[in-house]
Amino acid sequence: MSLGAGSRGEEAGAEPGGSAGLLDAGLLEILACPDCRSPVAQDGTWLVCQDQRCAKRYPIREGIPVMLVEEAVDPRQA
Amino acid sequence: MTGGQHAGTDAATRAHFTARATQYSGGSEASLQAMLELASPRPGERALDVATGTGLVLFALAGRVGPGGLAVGVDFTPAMLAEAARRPSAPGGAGPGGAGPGPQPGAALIAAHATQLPFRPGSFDVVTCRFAVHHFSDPGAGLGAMVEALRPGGRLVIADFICPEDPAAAELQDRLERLRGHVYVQIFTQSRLQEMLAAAGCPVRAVRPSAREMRPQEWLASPNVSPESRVALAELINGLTEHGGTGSRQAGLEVRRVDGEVRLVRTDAVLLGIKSG
Repeated sequence: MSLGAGSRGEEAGAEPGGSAGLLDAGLLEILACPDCRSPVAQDGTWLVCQDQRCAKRYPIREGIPVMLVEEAVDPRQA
Repeated sequence: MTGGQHAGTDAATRAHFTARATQYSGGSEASLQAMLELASPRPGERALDVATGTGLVLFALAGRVGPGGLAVGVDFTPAMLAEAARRPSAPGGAGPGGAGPGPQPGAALIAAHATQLPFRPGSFDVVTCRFAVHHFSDPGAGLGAMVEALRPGGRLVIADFICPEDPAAAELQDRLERLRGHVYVQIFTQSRLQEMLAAAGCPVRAVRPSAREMRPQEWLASPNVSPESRVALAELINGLTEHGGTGSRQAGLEVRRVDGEVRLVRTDAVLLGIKSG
């Protein structure tokens, strides 16, 4: 793979750069939304808050989850 | 001197980098050892290092909890995490307790703010934070978040600079640190740190002092020190070393002389709190 889903293949409005495999199950089990503290689930290169009212999406960049509220995509404001 | 000019230059260069090497990784080995002793991470446990920077403590923890455990490092500066991910020590080979070269399963890096840790409450057996509380804009909230991430009975280990209890000495320390170009919010006294940990629900059960010997000549040579500050810093250091004399303690620093050269010894604190059940 050279382009597209590769590490430099970030598309406008698409998933963040970096190849994110599945996060370690033990890690995913204890991760929570830093804003509302609800559980999160992995959706490709995003971690998505499972609370319907919050539903913030946190990018995984270069394999590192960015769980910063100011970096999250807020579907209510999208 | 033997070995000619290159050997002398090499030795000086080596000394130069030896003196700075630990600073690249974020501080002295002595405090790291004290932290690991107090945190006593065991195989299979879950450990969190807050403000992990380039991962010095994280990789040591990962080596201790092993592949059956989980070590997580958080920092709110993604560039530091990217550096951590690149470190050759990332596999845990270099640090004490490291499992040797090779991939280190069970070590994860996450960008997060110390006051908004992205974990379910009670997730960790051990939480560590090394030389970062003085950078926190809201230390009470930061410590509170760490304690929340711990299970009841879990261990919180905080290492940091400490401020002298005497207000005049504290003021002198602050002036010295600012002149050195040290950027921070507030350095706390040990008693204040203990109060804050207790208030956060994690009373302090053990404290280890951790001494670090420093060479004031290197402070003066540091690029962090502005030319204007350099004059004032030199005067302040002279005041400490000449008027104070060997063995004296001012601004939280003890004056020593090693082979005729002045050294200043700072004593940091490593605190172990146990989360109330």
